[in-house]
Amino acid sequence: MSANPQPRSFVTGDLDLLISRSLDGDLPGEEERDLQSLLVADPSARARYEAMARVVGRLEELPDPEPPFAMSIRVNAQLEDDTKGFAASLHKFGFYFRPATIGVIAAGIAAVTISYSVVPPPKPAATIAAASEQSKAQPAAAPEDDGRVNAYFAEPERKKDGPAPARESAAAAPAAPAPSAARARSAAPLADALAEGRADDEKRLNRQQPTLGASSEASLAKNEDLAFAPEPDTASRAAAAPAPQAAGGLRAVASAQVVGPSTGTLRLAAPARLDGLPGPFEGSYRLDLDGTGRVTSVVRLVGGSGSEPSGLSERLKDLSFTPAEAARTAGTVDVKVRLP
Amino acid sequence: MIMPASFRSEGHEWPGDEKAVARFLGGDPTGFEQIVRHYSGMVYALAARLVGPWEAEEIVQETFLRAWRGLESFRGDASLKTWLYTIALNRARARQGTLARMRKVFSSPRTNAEDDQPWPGDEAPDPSASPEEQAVEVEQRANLRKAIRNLPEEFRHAVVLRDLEGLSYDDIARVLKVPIGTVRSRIARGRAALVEELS
Repeated sequence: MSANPQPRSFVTGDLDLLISRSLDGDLPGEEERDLQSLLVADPSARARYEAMARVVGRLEELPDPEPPFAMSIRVNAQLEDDTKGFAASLHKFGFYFRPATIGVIAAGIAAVTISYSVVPPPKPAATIAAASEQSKAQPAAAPEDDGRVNAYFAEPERKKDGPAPARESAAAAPAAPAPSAARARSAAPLADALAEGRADDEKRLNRQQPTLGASSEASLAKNEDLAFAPEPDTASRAAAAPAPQAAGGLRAVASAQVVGPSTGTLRLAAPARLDGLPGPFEGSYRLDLDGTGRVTSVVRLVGGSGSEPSGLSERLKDLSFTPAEAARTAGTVDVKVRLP
Repeated sequence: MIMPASFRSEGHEWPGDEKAVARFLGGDPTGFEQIVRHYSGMVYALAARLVGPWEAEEIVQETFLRAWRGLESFRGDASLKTWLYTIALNRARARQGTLARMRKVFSSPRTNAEDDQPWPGDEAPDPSASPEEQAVEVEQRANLRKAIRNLPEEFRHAVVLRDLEGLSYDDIARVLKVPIGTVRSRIARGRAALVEELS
């Protein structure tokens, strides 16, 4: 007999919970006794209990749905298909990567590979600084490491907007695509740098620095030391960043180059003005030099092609060569002039 | 009938959760095939009660595929049946969510045509009964199933797992990932809702 003769009253929710738990055998002894007392005393609670017990009974009597015929065989067969592939093969080795995980890893590897192959890794700051410094003084050079130097000389007159930005192919060249200030610096004529007597210019000029412009010039003539590009626009473009070339990737420019025994010891101290001279012409000249490297007389050597344009000898007399000691020692220098 | 090679070569007896799982994790695929054979009927029954028999087989397929990929995460804290039920319940939820979104997008209200159809196997519940009694029984079952499907999802899952699948409160709490008190409450409220629906 319960210690409490008056059964507790419950709100509907509490009663449903108690009835439900009672039907499942989940009520502790005292609560079960309280509920039974209530059911005896309260017909509506008793009716509620019976209704819920009836529903639970009907639920439990519901037959299990019959699985379709041979479903487990189909599931296994389908699993066999779905679990083929790389992820499934790893299962044999005790790895249970999900396909999505494999996909993410593969995508990451592919992204890194592509980024390294397409985008060059950033240069260290020191390397960039050195390349920038080189680009100021040496805009173009020969592509082959044959000990010879190809250099394009720009006109003294600077064009701020003239140089085109360096292209991807010039990545091997010292000047990468640069801001306008850097482009302006790289467009500065090498002659200016030489005239300023920078101590390291000779070393730089002797060093190979492959660029597109240098390649074109190198293909035109072997054994050239210095190439003069008298046409202002052409010269400044070539000095800053070699422009796209004509057919075959080559662009012929008027040039004068040291040949013969003075190759590698004498070089031009100032740009030559060969623009406006009609071509095509190619000829060799022997220039007598004074003690300062200036030209005193011009003699055309045998050979060559095309007719010599008038005024060429006078222009060659305007040339001067450096270093003065080498000019004084040599006394003469042979140059090859080419007019496209 | 053509049967998979593994079906022909391996025994059909159920070795138990632990051995089957260990066999599969050891690299022997027949371990998982045994799991499928043993549990696919139970998973199908649950899926059919949650989403209806017409979509249940796809739930079963998805459940075992996910189980195959994630069996290494099965720690054995609960039974394999409970673990599979958890996956099946999640797949059923996802499927019903997808269907609900599709209905919303295409402005297609849910029809109860499938609910009104008798389930496979319900056509002749008791061959010894008279045709009238059979008809009443079929109708009552259909009404009960319809009432279950009309329950709010949280109540439906609790009632199905308790009264139809016979899981304990503890297992239901594991499957639903809710406290046991919540399980008690949901079961009680679900049953009460069914009483109201069927009265």
